[in-house]
Amino acid sequence: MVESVLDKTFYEIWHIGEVDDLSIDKIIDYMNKAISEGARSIRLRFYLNSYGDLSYIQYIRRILLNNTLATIVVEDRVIEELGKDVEKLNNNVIVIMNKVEKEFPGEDKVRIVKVV
Amino acid sequence: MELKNVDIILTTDRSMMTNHHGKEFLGFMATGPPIGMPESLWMWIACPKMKTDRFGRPWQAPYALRKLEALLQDHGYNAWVIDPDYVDLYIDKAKIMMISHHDYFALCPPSSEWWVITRKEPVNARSFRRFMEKTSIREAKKRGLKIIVGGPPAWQWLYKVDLWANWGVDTVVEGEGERIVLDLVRKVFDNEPLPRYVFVGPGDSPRLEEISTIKYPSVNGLVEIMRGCPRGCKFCSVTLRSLRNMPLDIIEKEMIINIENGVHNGILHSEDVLLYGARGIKPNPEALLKLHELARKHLKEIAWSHASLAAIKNAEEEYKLISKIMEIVKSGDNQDYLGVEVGLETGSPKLAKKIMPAKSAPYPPEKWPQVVEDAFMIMHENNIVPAATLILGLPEESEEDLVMTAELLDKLRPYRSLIVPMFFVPMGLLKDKDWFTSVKVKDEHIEVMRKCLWHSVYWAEDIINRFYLKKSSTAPLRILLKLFLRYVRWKGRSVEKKLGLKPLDISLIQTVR
Repeated sequence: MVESVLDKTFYEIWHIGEVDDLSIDKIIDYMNKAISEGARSIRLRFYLNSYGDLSYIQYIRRILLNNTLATIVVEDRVIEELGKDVEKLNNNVIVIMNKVEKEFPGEDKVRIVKVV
Repeated sequence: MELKNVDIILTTDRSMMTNHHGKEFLGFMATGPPIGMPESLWMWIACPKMKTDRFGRPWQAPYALRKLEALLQDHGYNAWVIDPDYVDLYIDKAKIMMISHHDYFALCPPSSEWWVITRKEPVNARSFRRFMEKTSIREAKKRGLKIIVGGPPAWQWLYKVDLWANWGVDTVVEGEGERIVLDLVRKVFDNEPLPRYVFVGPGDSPRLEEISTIKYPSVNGLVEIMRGCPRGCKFCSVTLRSLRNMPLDIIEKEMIINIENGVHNGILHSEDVLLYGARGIKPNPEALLKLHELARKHLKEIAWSHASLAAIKNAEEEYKLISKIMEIVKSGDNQDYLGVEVGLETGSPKLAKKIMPAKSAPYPPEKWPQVVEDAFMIMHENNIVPAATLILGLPEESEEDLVMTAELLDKLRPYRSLIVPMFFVPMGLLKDKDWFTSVKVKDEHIEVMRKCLWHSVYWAEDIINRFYLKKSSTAPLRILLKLFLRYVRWKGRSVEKKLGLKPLDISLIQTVR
């Protein structure tokens, strides 16, 4: 029986808004914290204005090339899917918000981190 | 077996889907640009077309593709390795195309090095690009084909985001593929979105029982005998994976698959063959002798993929193991030598201690140059022919380190071997299109590189004549390669003259036959 990688519980870090070095620094901070606490499966999900825009990958290169410990899954979605995804959440998520404002009323699984 | 449709195509470009005329080391030419001859001839020497059946299934295929083909078929999927020239037969109706490679964009050594030296793109990258730009793939993408790429150079896609997008690659996978590939295939079949990138961490490495046995032959009979490595060298990603030894019965099964399909030679694959069944970093003589007896029972010719110099020295000194293994290897009357890749890396004990303190174990890193010399002597005496690599341009490197490496190369002159310097390319450079113009080459690097060149050119002729291509059937290839070596000698001399360098006297190479 072959185990699944994707069916595990992931430490969730989502990103909405503009991807830049500062927002990536925030992701790295939370990733490092998660790994130091024993997390070995991390999902990075980017909510973009348009599907197929891979320009964010240039910014996350330094995350991926420096990681050797955890399984990292990188996903991207269009921003319109965010609401549905929040509803489907089974565990907590860190949402890195950069140069946008979004609220998640009543969602205590969502912890918002604004990039100053 | 008839093949009408294929749901999952596993494939790669011509530089990989080839058996290099049955001579694995010729594959190294695929890492270079065509020199002194047209590209078509270079490709014929390095990467001739693979024989296929009428459905385009290759006789031999890269081992990683064979493993995934077996895994997917074991789980009921209509998945087949297909030769790149036949992909068009199936791509219209396929759901997924999976691609593996050793160096998609020629950014790994030695491809990157040849690019720096020649300023010309190596053929592996050219061949891959030609494959991906096929109209049929573009059309299939419009119809919804999913493309998943992986292999050791998966990280390179992070520097080629434009091609990633233009070619419509859906997912890039880095790391061992067994578990994640099934997840991804399920997602495609369930119409769920795919992730962009997956790095499979050591915690998700498959257990032995999750690894399928190949069902069809691998290139030149390569079979893996273990995964992972305990040495922890800074420059290596494989060492991060847990050590798993393949049981002998599984190794035998795969050897038999190859033999039953007409591939009578074999390559034992490991990061360090001499650590098969080891306790820590000390060789296990019983396990190694049993492994080689098994290989001798089934294979006409045996090769090793990689071995560490420290293990070679230790194995011979403590157990006379190299001599015993070579007795077994030569007992078949088909074989009088064994080829292997080894990591020389540096001649500087100081640098060795910084970047690879366990590479010399059980000997201390301070003894590294002696370990290298002793291992080369042991290999020479036992007709083991190494292709050795060393690393230039590490951030920690000093001029003194390079001088020590050059001195070590002088000591290695009597020993039959090829020595190839590999340039460390800082990741930061790779994002520029003309990255190769920015690699800084010092005089000390040039001195090391030309010692490697003349050493290898001298011994290459000996290796070709006495061992590698001595049969009459390989005469055309032998002649072409000797002409190529003549060209390299001429070119080397003219570059030295241009740089105002006094030619190295290669007659000083003492032969220890």
